[in-house]
Amino acid sequence: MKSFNYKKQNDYKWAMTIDLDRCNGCGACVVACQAENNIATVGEKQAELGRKMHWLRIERYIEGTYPDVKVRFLPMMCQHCDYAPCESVCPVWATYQNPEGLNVQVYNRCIGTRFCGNNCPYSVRYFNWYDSNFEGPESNQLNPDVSLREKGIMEKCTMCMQRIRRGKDTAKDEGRDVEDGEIQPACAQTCPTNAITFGNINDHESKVHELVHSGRMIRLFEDKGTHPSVMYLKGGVADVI
Amino acid sequence: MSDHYTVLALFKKVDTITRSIDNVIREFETVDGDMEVLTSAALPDGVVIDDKTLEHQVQYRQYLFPFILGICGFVTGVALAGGTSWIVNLNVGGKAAFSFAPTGIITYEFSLLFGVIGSVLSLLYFAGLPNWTDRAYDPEITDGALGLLVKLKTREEQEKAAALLTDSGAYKIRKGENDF
Amino acid sequence: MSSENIKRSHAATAGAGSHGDVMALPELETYRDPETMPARSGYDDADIFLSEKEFNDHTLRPLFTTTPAYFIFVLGLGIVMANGLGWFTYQLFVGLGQTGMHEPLFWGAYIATFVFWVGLSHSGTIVSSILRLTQANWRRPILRAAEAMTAFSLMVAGLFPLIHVGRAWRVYYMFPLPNQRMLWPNFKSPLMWDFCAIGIYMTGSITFLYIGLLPDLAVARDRAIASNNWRRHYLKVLALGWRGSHREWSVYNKCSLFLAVIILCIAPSVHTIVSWDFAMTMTPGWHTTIFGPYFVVGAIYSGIAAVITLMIVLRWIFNLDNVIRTLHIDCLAKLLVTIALIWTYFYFCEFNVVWYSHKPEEWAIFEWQGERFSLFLWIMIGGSVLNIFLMSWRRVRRSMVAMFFITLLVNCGMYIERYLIVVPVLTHRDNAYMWTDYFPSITEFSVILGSFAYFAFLYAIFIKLFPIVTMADVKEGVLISGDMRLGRHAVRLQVKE
Repeated sequence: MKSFNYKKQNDYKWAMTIDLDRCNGCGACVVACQAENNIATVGEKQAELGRKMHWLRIERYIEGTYPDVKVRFLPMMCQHCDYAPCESVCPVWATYQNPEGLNVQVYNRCIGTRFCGNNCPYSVRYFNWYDSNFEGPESNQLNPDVSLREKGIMEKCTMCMQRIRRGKDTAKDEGRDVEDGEIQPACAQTCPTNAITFGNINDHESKVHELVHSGRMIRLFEDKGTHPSVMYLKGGVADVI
Repeated sequence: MSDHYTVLALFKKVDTITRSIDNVIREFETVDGDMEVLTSAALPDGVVIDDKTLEHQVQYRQYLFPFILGICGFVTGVALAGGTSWIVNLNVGGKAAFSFAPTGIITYEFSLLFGVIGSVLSLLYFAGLPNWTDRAYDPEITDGALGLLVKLKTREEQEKAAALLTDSGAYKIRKGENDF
Repeated sequence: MSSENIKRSHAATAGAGSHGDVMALPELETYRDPETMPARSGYDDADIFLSEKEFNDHTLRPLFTTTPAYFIFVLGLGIVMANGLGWFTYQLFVGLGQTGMHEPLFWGAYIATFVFWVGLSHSGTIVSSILRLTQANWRRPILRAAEAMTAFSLMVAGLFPLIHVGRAWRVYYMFPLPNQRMLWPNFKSPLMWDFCAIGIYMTGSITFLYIGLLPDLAVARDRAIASNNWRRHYLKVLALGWRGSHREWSVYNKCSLFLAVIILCIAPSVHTIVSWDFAMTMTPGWHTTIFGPYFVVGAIYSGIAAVITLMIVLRWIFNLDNVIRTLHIDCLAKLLVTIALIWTYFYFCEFNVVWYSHKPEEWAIFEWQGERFSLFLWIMIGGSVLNIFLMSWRRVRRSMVAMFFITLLVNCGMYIERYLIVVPVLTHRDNAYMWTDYFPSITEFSVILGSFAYFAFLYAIFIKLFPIVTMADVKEGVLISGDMRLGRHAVRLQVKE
């Protein structure tokens, strides 16, 4: 898939599938993501302006006219593209492709040109328009594994990098590879219908690998040639798993 | 002890100054570079004096400045853009570490930047600028007077030249040692 | 000196060269007889019938004489600037939320204004170097004003990335400064190309401006020393001891030639690279190959229009009618018509291609443009087409009032164009769920207004510190040209090397 050497040296290539037939748009993943990653709550006024910072958002599409209405949900987060358009345009290397196929954002390097956000066809990058404001009881539930972001920098879904790191560390300490299902991002862990599956696609035994090759896999905006690591499952019977 | 003596004569017309130059050349053993014309606008080469030294020493060598510095800029550009891809080998957008287009753009820009610097250096070097010392000069030159600057070896010659230039039509004479 | 004196008839000065200490420009000039000279080719409306001293006095008057109105003007600009600066400072401390931007519209009016200023900088040096290289004789008095415009609009443009970025205090991350933190710029980013190109263009155009100034600085220096003016201190240093020797002139001319060629290579590359900030993305509406030349032409278009506006203002304020003449506005207007035609052609190409292929993601943007910004579109395209027709008319080209408003309209249109390039595309991105709308906030308005005031401020200061007319070039032009009587006509002659 990639022309870079380190792919061969590395066993992991993280990927995620989201089963759209299973998603009922409950929004639990959004809340979980918000809590896990210390995402700022911007408040009513800013949200109205379109500045809510849901790394993972549920896009709601309504098909047909009343009374023949169908609502479809599309959980949308950073697609962790293999050929990510956001990466090459950053003048300060604040975002790049890590050896495990994730598109990472280095907060400390970011100067906030916001070019990456302009070049993201999925519009899943978020900008800190103001300093994050955690006051009162909110500050007690912050995740100590995740840094808070300053105003003026970009952020986005990290696939719960902190959990991946912890899982890999545990596996290393125990002298084994990371097992399938051992690492769960907050959204996948929370999803009540098990619509979200996360795993190592290089491991051919993994559930993700199986789902991706189930014939139901689609990628968003595939014509953009971005090769996302987040894949959606749609159509066919939902009897897998 | 001064090296040489200088006479600065101011004229009003191009014709008069050319005549005076002929007179000076006839009277004294001057070589190229001993005479200089000060004007407020660029006179085409050969209108008043035809400085062969200038032509040979400067005209061709002046090209070398922007050219050589342009090459330096080219190297800098390649080193910056190409060197970056060599040292910071991060995968961004699946693009090859060393890509020709960005390197080309940076190289182009840096070559031109160094070319600009080279041009300015050529001006400073060949025109002997900056020189803030008090040199043979008269403020009337910028008001349209044509100045003829003659370098002479002895004080007697200087006196003689001053007289000669006054006779030839100079309306103002300034004398001094070295370049004043 | 009253303007009557300046416009005095030729008869009074014809023999000036032969009497008193009034120096005439070279004798060639004395062949002229305006009484019998038929009106030809525009050269004759107000040629320099002055002695060189008078010419110096006249053109340096804006430098040495200052009226109270000037201080009031500068104070007014200062207030607008301070307002902009205040809003910007607040934004810097609080965050970019002060602007009207939001996801997924990450670039807004700031970037549009940045492109506008970079565009404005494009005529100065391009026109200046093209006219220098082609030895167009009419160019001479206007070069300085145009070059200064380039330098100052670039200085203003250079501020906008700083205003725009989220962490302006970390902008030095983009400099290739070796450090232990492994901070190093990514030369694959179009923003980095932009950073280099604009930095280099700014260096180049300030150098170009300065080198062009050198002989005129000497003139101003002599005046300042004679009148014991405070300006003598810096003029003495900046004039580098220029004497105007033959050697200096010959080296200087060669250097100007080098610089003209180099600047001519830099300038189009700069705006091409600015266009690539947009075209290199995969955003529909931006990702188009036409953007490079389209931006360059648009830049020259708005730049020439701005030069004309500025000329008209300058000659009006400083009474420079006989230096910046109707002829110059006329010639520049002809150039403007040509560029306007090319620009309209490009706009048509861009629109036609999208309309015909009707790719949904691109067409959505155009539809949205037509829906939301139809008035703007009419001002932009209608104005441009109207201008072409108006400026084809000699009387319009030679009317200062008409040209002032036409060129203002051109620049309004070009500002709108930049806004329409940045905003509708971002409000209607690929992901239809995120479609949005945008309106600049008061912070953005104040800062942008402040940038215009800053430009005017820089220019006003420049006029009081440096000669605004390219005096040496004018003198050279008079020196190497003259008239010859041929039958009933006086024919213009010019020496060309």
